[in-house]
Amino acid sequence: MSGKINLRDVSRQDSEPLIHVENEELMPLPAPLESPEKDRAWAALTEQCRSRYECGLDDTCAVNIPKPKTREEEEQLVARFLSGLDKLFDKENNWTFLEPLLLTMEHCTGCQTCAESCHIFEASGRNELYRPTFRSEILRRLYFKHVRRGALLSAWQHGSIQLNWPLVARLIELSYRCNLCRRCAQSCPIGCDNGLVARELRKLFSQEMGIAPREIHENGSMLQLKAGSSTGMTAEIVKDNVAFVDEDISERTGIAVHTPWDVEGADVLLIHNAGEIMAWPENPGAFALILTMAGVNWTMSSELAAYDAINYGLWYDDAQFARVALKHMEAARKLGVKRIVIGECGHAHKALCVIADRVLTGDLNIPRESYLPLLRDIVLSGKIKFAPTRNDFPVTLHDPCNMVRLMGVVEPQREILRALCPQFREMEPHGVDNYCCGGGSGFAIMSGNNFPDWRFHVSGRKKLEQILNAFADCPGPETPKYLCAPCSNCKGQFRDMITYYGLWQKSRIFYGGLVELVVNAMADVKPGFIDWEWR
Amino acid sequence: MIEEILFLKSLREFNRRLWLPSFFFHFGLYLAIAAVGCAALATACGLSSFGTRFSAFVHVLAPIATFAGAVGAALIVAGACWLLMHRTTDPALKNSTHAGDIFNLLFFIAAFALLIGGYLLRAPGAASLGEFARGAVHFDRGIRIGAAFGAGLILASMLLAYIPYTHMAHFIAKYFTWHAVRWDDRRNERGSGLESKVAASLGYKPTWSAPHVGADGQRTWAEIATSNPTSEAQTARETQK
Repeated sequence: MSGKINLRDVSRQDSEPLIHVENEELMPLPAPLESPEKDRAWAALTEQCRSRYECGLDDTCAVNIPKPKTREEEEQLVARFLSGLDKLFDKENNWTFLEPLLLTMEHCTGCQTCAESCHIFEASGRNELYRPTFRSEILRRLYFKHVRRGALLSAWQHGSIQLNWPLVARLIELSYRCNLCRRCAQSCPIGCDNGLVARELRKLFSQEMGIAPREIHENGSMLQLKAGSSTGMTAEIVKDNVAFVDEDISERTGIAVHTPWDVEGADVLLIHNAGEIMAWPENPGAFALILTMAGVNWTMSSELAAYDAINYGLWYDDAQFARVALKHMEAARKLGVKRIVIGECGHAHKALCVIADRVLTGDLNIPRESYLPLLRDIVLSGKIKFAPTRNDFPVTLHDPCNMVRLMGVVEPQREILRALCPQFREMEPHGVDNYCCGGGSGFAIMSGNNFPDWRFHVSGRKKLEQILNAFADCPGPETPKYLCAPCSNCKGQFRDMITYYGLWQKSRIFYGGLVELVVNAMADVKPGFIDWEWR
Repeated sequence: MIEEILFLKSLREFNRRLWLPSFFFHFGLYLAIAAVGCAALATACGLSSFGTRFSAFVHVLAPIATFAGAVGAALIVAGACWLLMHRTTDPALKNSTHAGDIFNLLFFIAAFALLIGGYLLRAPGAASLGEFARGAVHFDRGIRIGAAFGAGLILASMLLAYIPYTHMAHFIAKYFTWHAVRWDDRRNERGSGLESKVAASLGYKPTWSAPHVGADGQRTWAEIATSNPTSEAQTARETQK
């Protein structure tokens, strides 16, 4: 076990990983994964990966940073890091998050209350590397030395650390070992935010050094700004696909559905995570059906980026974030809609409803809201008849961090589930104390090298424990169980994690959104909307 | 907020191991501050310029100040010793404990141990807390205090001046971080002061170097946010052709 590392080890010149984690060291799981032997073995990083990329942190590699070829190249990279570090603490360059970042740098007492709240730290078997304060403490020492220009007295007061390329390379990887769920920030007695530290580090690496995981930059925000969606769907393709979804949903439910596009003056502009249209078409289909039956005056937009609610800049880059947020708002302004409603996508909720609120001015500041209160109002209004007995199977609810802890939307989804799902049971803890699915902050779409092994064994482990515990009274495959995850990103993580552990076969744990449960319980819809077909 | 500041609610809920020593330490600080406040008030009430109207308060406030001061100092010393033990023995705190943290705790222990020890073990005829406060207000150089209590006073004064230069100012920062920063959920409404601030910030000219940002020190954040790096890159490619 190499979890007992010293902070100064991050400057080690060799390229050997600082730690290695064995299954035996991880937090134990309940049945059917109760012993380390029943856990999956980790795939090792390939020799090719190790020789090409910086892999000196742990057992995996998320960012694929090419190894510098010369000492000069290393020095240039360190100089760029230092330049970015200055900008991170400069108001002109970082007015968005400077205040909380400074307070976190200057007032953390190192009490480790954050570590007690961190699912990654706990699931890793309390490995020192994954303490929320480990990366923050590195940044803090660099901040006092290189930004505040501290000398010996500062080193005595705040600690010192050697800045070199191995440290920068490890810090880049380490900034992608946090889900940015901000559970740690919620528990901090001071109000320090170690999740923000990870995010701001990612920002430095992206905005100054041009370093970010391909999945969230080139194939994510850049593709969205180029094609209109990170799925690569252009406006014509997305309209075709949605037309197909409408047709399919009409056939499956027996109720004609037609998704309206570009309706000027509509009450609601609905923006989905476009990944739903490709991976889980029943989700946008269910939305269309519910809104149609409730008589809502709604539309979707075919403007560039406005038919995909995702905004990956939230996780790593302010410029990319602002660009996508503005695209969403410009589409709403152009159509003259009264409000934007975000579909089942957690990070899109936080991006457009919360963070964009500090970017938008004038007529771009159009009201934005979660779909959850609207859905609750529809379900409880009596406009649609429901037969809750159709949902008479065990259902548990995952609280997406961005909607729940970070926006405070806790009750509407529960009111719906209590009304429509007779066997609804909570996970513990839940609501604002929930645990991240383990796929947050881009991890769910990051599948390079053996990164999925890390995200299932470590970042997703606490949630997996919660899911298994929630269904502990009916663990076998004879009882189909529904894990309600009203967020595309979380669904992606659950799909992959349940598959990885074979829990569909062993326990019949199915996953899906909330609107699917609503449609499944509609009395006027053909029975069996939820088809229990693994996908 | 009150529960958090007075009783360290988050620590009690999420980090019980450190809660009691931290609670002792912080509550002791609050009592010590209250003791200084009561002593100052008692002294003010006893000033001759107020006549005899408030003199009765002196008899109430002076013993409260003495009691709060003694209990506060004892809690500070106990809490600081306990925290020092954690800082030096708990592996979980190792990577985030600096020499300065150890020094800070020792500073508190020394200052408040001297204050309480010096006061309780003062020689017969040495000034009580009330007499000392009155003497301080009147610049009475005839007041006699013990050497240990005097050293404690000097150390406590130095500590007070030192705190703002350390992260120990967190109990003041907490007021700002708790709501205003952590969960700042004021709505940015049209025509509001917040909107003006956002608009002003959008006029800043960043210098981030990554090509996709497109910052050159001349373009504002607003211009960068309304640009599209993919179309700019495409235009540049077409121009090259």
